[in-house]
Amino acid sequence: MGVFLFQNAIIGLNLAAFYSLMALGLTIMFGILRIVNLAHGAIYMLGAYGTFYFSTRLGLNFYFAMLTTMISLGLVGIVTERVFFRMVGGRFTAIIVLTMALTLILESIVDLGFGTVARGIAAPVVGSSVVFGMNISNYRLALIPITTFLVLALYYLVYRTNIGIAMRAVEENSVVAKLQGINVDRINALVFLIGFALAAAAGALMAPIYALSSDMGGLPLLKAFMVIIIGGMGSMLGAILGSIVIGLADSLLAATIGMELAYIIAWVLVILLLILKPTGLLGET
Amino acid sequence: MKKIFFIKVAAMISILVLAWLVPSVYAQTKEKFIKIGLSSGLSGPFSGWGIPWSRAMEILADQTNEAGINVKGEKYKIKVFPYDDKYGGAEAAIIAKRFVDPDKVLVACYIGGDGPLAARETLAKAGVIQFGLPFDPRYPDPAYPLSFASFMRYPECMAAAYDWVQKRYPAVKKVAQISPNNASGRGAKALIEKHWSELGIELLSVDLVEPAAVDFTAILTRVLGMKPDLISVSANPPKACGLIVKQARDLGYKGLFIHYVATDLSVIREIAGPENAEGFIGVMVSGKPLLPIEEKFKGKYIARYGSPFPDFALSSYVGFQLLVEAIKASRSLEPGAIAETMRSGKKFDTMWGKGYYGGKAYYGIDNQIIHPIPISTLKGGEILLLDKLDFPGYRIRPWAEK
Repeated sequence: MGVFLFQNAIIGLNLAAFYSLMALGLTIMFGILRIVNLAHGAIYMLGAYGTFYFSTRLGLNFYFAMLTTMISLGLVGIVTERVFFRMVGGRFTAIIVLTMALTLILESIVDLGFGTVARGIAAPVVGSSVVFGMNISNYRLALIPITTFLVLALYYLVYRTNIGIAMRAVEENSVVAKLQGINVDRINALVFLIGFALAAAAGALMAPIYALSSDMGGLPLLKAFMVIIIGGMGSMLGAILGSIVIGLADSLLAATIGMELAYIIAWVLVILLLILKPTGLLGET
Repeated sequence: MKKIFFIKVAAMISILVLAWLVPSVYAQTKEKFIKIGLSSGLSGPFSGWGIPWSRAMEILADQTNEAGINVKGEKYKIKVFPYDDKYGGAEAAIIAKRFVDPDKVLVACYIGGDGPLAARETLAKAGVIQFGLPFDPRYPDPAYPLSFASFMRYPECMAAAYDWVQKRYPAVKKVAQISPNNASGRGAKALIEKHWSELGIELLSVDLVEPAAVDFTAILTRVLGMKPDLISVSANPPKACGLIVKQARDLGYKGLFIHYVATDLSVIREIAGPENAEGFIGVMVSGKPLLPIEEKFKGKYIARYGSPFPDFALSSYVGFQLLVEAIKASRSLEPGAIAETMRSGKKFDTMWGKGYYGGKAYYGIDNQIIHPIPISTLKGGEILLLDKLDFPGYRIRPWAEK
């Protein structure tokens, strides 16, 4: 039983690493810009397809392909902010409709470009290792430090650099931040760049584990929302904590009571949390 | 002045629209059509079935329309009406109403999930022939003489394939099954749990999973702990099959995989990788060497929709052939007459050999298609045909008490 739980704890941490990348991109955009980006799942999907294209069609090394995709989609993020979001301003309903429309458009473009048949991509790290009696793929193991590095890099950027201070100032009050000489438009663009690049990284890293299809972003988006509801909207630490909770719950509950029941229980927990602590574990009012 | 300008522009646009519409409307009134509705998951996790299935019918319609279908001296063409039901019952039921009116189809085709049962009542009341694939013991049913099963299902495929598996892989003693929690998966579970022992194999577990799931690792740790010789991924769409294979291999599973009712080995290979998917057994899947008629169909598919070619399109095509051949043979557009022709015991030509409608001993009505069953596997990255079996008759007891 101990080994079984340990196995699933490792799998849960692996899932947590993935969920945290997705959730951090989403939460940083909400925390600073108050934007609920429903197109985040579509950007995740583009991250996977971009890496697929650069690595299998152009023959680039997987990690270089991932980096190229992150940069490309980060730039797409800047353009998206300029062309769409700045025009609609902070209108909530307009943003919801806009991000939903973007999702449908991007999914259709991928269907046209890559076809409707699901695709796969080979992992850059092959083989598996036996960890405490459990076989686990080396690539899944590698994901944990890679994701940890990305999360720490983001944490450093936000809490240890001048840009991060400016971002947090905009989060507190964009008008006052502007009066202090902070270029709010530039910060907004930077947040889009980071949010899109993180979603792209999640898509790229998960592509060798999952399958590529234009609708692949729906479930991760749902999980990311679960994570930030549990952790608290806009809180980076909350997103990480929420990822660990959901990752471990997904794994341990599915392994012990079955995937269907685990799914129901996870959502019941989210509903209970929304009732009892609407701001999430670490969110502010 | 401005007003006159806008009136002129509006008049010009109207003339252009009329000039575009009138010839096509005129052309349509000259031709006579047999309307066939297609309702399937064209988006979402089950599109791996829905898209090739719809496209197979579109190609068959094109091929049939070259000569047309002769009904009482008049030539008819097939016109298809494809819709996306997202593999769900609610959407399928709405589409059924659309099939009845305004589309007024002669045949409404459905694939999998809850759709066929959700649509059956509406179609039956309207006198529309239903050609569907639900993995459900309530289908076909003598109370619904116009509802036909468009694929061979568990009772047919397991009856044929289990003897074959036992002979070819005598080491297989313990089996685990992972299926989606939808009508297909639940139907498979009900049948397998009740009658597995009749097939002489120990069933370790049957897991029903969230249909949109992409991570099966947690479930697999428990399943693999029971040391199965064979994992059945039946009722899962090809994408999920590929993911289960890939994730099970990551966890060190070295045994066999099987899918009992028409999967897509090309998609499984693409997602799991050729090495991981090596040895996967696909029942009702054709492989190399393809017959000339299969190659011709594959060529047409790629020419029209591009690569890669999903091999699920082949089994879909065979089912539709049995439908179109029956319509041709009936020489009628009256649903009751077509249904009688289908149930007449007459054998029709298909790509895989002679097929017919049977199943009365099992379902109480001859509304189940029966045809030869190819079994293929992945070897060295290639899809190879292992065998082609004739349906041996039902080995297992009826699916469930009705």
